Amino acid sequence: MSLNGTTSLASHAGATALLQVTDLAVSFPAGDGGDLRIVDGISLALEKGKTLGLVGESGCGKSITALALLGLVPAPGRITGGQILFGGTDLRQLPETRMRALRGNRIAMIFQEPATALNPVFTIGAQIAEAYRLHNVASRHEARARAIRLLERVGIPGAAQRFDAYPHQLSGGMRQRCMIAMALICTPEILIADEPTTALDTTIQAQILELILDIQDEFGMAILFISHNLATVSAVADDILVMYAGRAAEQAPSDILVSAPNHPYTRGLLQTLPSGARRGEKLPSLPGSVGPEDLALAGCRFQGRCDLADDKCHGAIPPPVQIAPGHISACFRAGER
Amino acid sequence: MSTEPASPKPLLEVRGLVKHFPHRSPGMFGRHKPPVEALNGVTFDLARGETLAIVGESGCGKSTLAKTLALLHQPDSGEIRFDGEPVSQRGGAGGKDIRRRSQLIFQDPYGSLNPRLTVAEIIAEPLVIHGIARNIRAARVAGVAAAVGLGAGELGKYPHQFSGGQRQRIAIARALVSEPELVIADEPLSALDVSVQSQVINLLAELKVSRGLTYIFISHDLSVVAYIADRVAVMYLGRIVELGATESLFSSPLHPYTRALLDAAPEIGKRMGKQPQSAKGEAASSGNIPPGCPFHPRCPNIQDICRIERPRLGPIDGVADNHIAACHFTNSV
Repeated sequence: MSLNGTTSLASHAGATALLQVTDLAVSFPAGDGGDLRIVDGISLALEKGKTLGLVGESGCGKSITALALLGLVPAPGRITGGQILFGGTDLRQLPETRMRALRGNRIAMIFQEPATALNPVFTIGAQIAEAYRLHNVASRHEARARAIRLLERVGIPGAAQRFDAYPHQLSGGMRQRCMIAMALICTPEILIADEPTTALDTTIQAQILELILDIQDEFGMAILFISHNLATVSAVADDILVMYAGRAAEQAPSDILVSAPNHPYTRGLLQTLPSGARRGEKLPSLPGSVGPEDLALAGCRFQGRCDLADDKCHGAIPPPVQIAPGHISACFRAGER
Repeated sequence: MSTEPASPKPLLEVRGLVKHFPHRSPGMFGRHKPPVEALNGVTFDLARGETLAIVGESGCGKSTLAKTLALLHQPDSGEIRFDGEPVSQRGGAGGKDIRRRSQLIFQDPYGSLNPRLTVAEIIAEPLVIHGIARNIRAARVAGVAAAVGLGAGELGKYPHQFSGGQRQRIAIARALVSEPELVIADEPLSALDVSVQSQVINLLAELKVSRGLTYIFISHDLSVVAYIADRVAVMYLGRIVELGATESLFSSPLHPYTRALLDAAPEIGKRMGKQPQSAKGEAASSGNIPPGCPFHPRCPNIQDICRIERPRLGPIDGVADNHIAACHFTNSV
C-alpha cells in the first residue's frame, strides 16, 4: 500500500529532482532491545531553484531527516531503509570519503544556533575560507578574497575588516549571515536550512529570510527549509511537507497547504493559531500532546489526537493518497474532503 | 447604588522606571564596559482586569521590566504603585503582601520547576512561604490544580513525568495558588509546541475571567498578542515607544518601529519579499544606546532632529489620547 503512495510522490517530482529521497527510515535502539523508527517512510524531492519546507513539532524527526541526507545521523541512530538519490547515486551506498567531498561542497547546511555552530577560537574569515580550501585547490589569498566577496554579498558591513573578527564579536544576525556565507562558498546545489531564523529577532528574521531567497534567485540552488513555524515556512517555501511523529502527514504547494489543508493534523494546527481576527472566541485546540510513546503505536500515529479516528486508524498505517497534483495526504479519510 | 462610574483606580501605576546593570568588575585586561541600560524610564498604568502585552525584541528590556514589577529587581529610580500603595522601596512593609498579590510565570517550564518536588509540593510552595497553615494548603492546592486541568492523581508525580504543556499548567497553578490579582507572564508559550499553545492560551483566558485576574503578557509573537491583549506596549532599548489599544495599534501603528515589527512578523500565507523592509540593520546594544531617538539609525523616516532630540512618549495630533507614541514624525509613518 505504501509503495503506491511513494510512487505517486516520486512521479510528481518527475525527472527534474536534484535529490530524491524515497521511503527513508531512521531508527534508534529502544530500551527494550527493539528499534524505534523516529523517521518512517519519508519521501521527498528537492528541485533546482525551489524550496521545500519541512514542518513539524519538536521530536517529529525533521532535523534527523536533514542529517540523514548528509549521512550525519548521530549514533546510535542509523538509517534503516530507503534511498537517497543525488545525481544518480544513492548516498547511502557512498563511502565516507566520497560523502565528505559532497558535504559542505555540493550539499551545504546552516543550523539554528550560529553561536554554537561557529568555532569560537577561529576568526569567521578563517572558518569560511577553510570551507573553500577543503573542497577546492586555492591559495590562502584566493580563498580570503572569495570569502570577503561572499561576506559582502550576505550583507556584512566592512567585510574586509570583519573577516578577522571572532564569532563572539558579532551579533546573532551577523553570525547567521556568516553561516550563510560559509554554506555558499562552494556554490552548493542544495542548501539545507534547519531552523535558520528561530534564534533571531523578528526584524532580523525577516532580513535573513529575504537574504536566503535573494541568494536562491542568484545561485539557483534547491533549498530544504526546516522549521516548527508554519507561518515562517509558508513565507518562503514553494511546497510544504508536514511531518508528525516521524511520518509524512501531508505535502502540498504552500498556498494550498495553508488554504485547503487536508490532513486532520495540518487542519488542527492551522485552526489553533491565534490571531487578531479571532479575538474573543475560544481557540480550537488539539487534545493531548505528541510524545515518544506515539512512535510505538500500531496504525496512524496521530490517532490519539484525531477526532476522525476509528478502528481502521488503530489497525493500519494510512497510506499517502494523492488528492490533487502535488497534494498528498496520509489519512484514510483523505478522499472525503 | 450609584450609576456614576467612579474613576477606577489603576491596579498598577508605573512611573519613570529606570534599571541599569553595571558590570561588576572591569572586563578582561582592565577595560571598562558601560552599564547595560535595561530600563530607561518606563511609565504606564494598568487597569484592573486588563491584559497589557509588552512586545519588543531581545534586549529591549521586557524581561527586566517583568522582574522589576514582580519585585525581583530593585529599580534604580522611578516608582511603582500597586493598588495605590508605593512599593518600590526595598523591604517595604507591604513587600511580602505585594509579592503574594502579583505572581510571575516564566518561559521555560523545564527550568522553572524543581525536579525533586512533587507537583503538590511545587504548587504548595508559595503557601508555605506566605505562612498559610498546613491544613488549609491541601484544599487550596487541589482547587487550583483542578482549575488548570490537573487531575488529583497527578499531584503526586514529579515534573519529568509531564509534557511541556502540562508543566506550564503546573507553573500556572503555582502562580495562582496564592490568589494573586496581577499575573506577569514572561513568554509563557514560547517553549511549547505549536499544537499545545492554544490549550494554554485558552486556559489563561478562562482563568482571567473566573479569577478576575489582570495580566501583563510578555511576548515576541504578535499573533498571540493580537488575540489576547487589550492594550499593547512596544518597547525599544529600554523605553516604551508606543502604547495603545490592540486593534488601534495593529491597524494604525504610529511608531516606525512598530510598523517594522508588524511588517516583519511571519503570518500564514504572507510571502516573504512582498513587503517593503522598514527597519534597516540591527538594534544597538543596550550598553551603547544612540543619542536622540534610539531608533534613528534604523529608521526609514529619519530627519536631523531625530539624531539630537529624544522624542517623548505622548499623545499625537488627530489620534485618540489613549494611543501614544514617541516619535517626532508620527504622522508620516
